[in-house]
Amino acid sequence: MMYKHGGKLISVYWFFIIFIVAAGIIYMVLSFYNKPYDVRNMEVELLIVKISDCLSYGGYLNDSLINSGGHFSEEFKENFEKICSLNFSVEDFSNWKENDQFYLKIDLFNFDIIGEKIDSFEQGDRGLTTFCDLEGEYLPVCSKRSFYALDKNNTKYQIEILSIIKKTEKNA
Amino acid sequence: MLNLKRFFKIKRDGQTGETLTWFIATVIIISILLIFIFISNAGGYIQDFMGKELDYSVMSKVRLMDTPNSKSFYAYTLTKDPEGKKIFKELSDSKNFNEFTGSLAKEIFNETLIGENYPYTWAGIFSRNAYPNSLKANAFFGVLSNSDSNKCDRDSIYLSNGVYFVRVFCS
Repeated sequence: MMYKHGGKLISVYWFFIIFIVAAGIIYMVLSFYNKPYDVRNMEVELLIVKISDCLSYGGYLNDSLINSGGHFSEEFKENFEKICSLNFSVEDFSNWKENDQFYLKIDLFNFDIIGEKIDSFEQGDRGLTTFCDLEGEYLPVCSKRSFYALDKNNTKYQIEILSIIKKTEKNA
Repeated sequence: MLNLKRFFKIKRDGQTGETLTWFIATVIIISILLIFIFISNAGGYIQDFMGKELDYSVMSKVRLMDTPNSKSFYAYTLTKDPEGKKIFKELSDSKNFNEFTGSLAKEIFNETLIGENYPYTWAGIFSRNAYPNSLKANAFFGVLSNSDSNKCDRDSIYLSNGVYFVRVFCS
């Protein structure tokens, strides 16, 4: 009788241990994968890559998007997302749908005359630019890149792309 | 006849020993569990302890695909000089910079245009046949002085007869 009683106790003990170990593993997995992966640095760079590919391909500017005078075409301004295969829609989280989480600015400069801006195009929340000069952990991520471009008439341009992604609520 | 007093004494000793064994085993199991919980919790903060950001492999691939930078390079080679000759053709023929091609390269491949990530840039001619002096010094970029492959990326375009136009940009 004593032995049987001990056996039951040991079974209860084993169930207890199994439960503790299982709970520990679940906790470990949750705590490890719950940490947010902040990929916004990559996201802004990829956005710039996509836009630069859209504007210039094969060494020349896309003349259907930028006309010979160096101005963005109306079609480009109206259907920018569709033309460049971009999608700025975000998930319904913390009023993201109401507040833009992106900002994009494309400036077209005359390469031969330093500082002469020919045209500019922007989309998204301009207010995000105020955070670019600040230093801190929970701020929008900004990236600005420039490149040299050429149209078919051998006119030289400098294209500057500023890309900003907010999404601070999920990456704080 | 069974000596009950002795039997229970032995039994008690055995039970105490076994209980102690299980107790220590439990402590060991829980300790190991706690160590793993601590490690998995600390995983996200390792970058803080190390004082640097985690280098995701995807991130390094993105850096290698520096599209805007490459676009500048290829647009440069397609630019026509005042006589209407493309720089690519001019470099293929002369295998060196002239005043126009060199000055334009200097203007395009500078820090302002390619970004502050790359404070050092070199552009010039690489000749496969001229080993060990494959990289030719030129009047505009001098000698390639920093080509640490861990910190530098490069773009190149084949000109002719084992000669390439190369640009090296380093962080």
